[in-house]
Amino acid sequence: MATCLHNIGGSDRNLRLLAIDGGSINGYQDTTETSFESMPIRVKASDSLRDICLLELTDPQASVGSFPKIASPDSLNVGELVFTFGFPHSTDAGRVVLTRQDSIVGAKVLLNSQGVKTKHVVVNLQARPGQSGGPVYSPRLQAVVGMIMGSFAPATQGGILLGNIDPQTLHQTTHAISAEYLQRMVTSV
Amino acid sequence: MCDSRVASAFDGPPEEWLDALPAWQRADIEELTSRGTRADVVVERYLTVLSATTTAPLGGMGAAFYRDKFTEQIYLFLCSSEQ
Repeated sequence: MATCLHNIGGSDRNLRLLAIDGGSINGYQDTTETSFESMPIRVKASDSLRDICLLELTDPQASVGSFPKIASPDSLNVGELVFTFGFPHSTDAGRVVLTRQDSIVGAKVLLNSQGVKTKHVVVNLQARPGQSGGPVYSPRLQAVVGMIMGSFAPATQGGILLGNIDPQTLHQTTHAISAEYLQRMVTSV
Repeated sequence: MCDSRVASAFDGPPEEWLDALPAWQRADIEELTSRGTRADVVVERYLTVLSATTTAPLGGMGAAFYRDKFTEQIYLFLCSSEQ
């Protein structure tokens, strides 16, 4: 499993994986259900420059299935279909609904991570809090090609929040980091 | 005795400290240090930055807590009997 490092709050102490019993993704997810089973997890490896970490279940007997195929987005074309799963509004409004969003690749960019150029894909959708760490999947490559990190925001000081929302992030320029950085972590642990 | 053991840990080429790291982590740090950046600044960058400069995380925490926890643990390891 993998997610954004900023999702875990700086420590994996008492970190748990929610096991949401929604049956099939095509079934109705009960939003009135507020209790979930959970499993303890811990950080296996992290890359703070790129805001990503690998997680593992603390209980060696537990399992959540196999890790999907990972591929670099290098061969993706601009305009190509991708989709993501996530929990939009879960961290800001407590809405826990596994949601699929389809979009296209808007661009492939190199972003500055404190002097280290890092490959990202611009996904043309408006992501919301709770979608960080969501996989970006390419149906053509049948692989995870990226992981949602956040929204484009100008590198400026200051700003305002309206209803705890930064207006500068209200757009369809979502940044997903290349899955190749996950791949190299997976192979090194 | 303890002090000399601690001091001896800092002998030798600094590059050897990186040998224990996976290749990708070593490459990142070498890229950061290759421009003459001081080691403490590299630590600051490596343990502080959580995303690209122009990416706003979707919730969560994006502060310097890794660096702070790292330096706190180093301090406790070297200067405290609690560790």
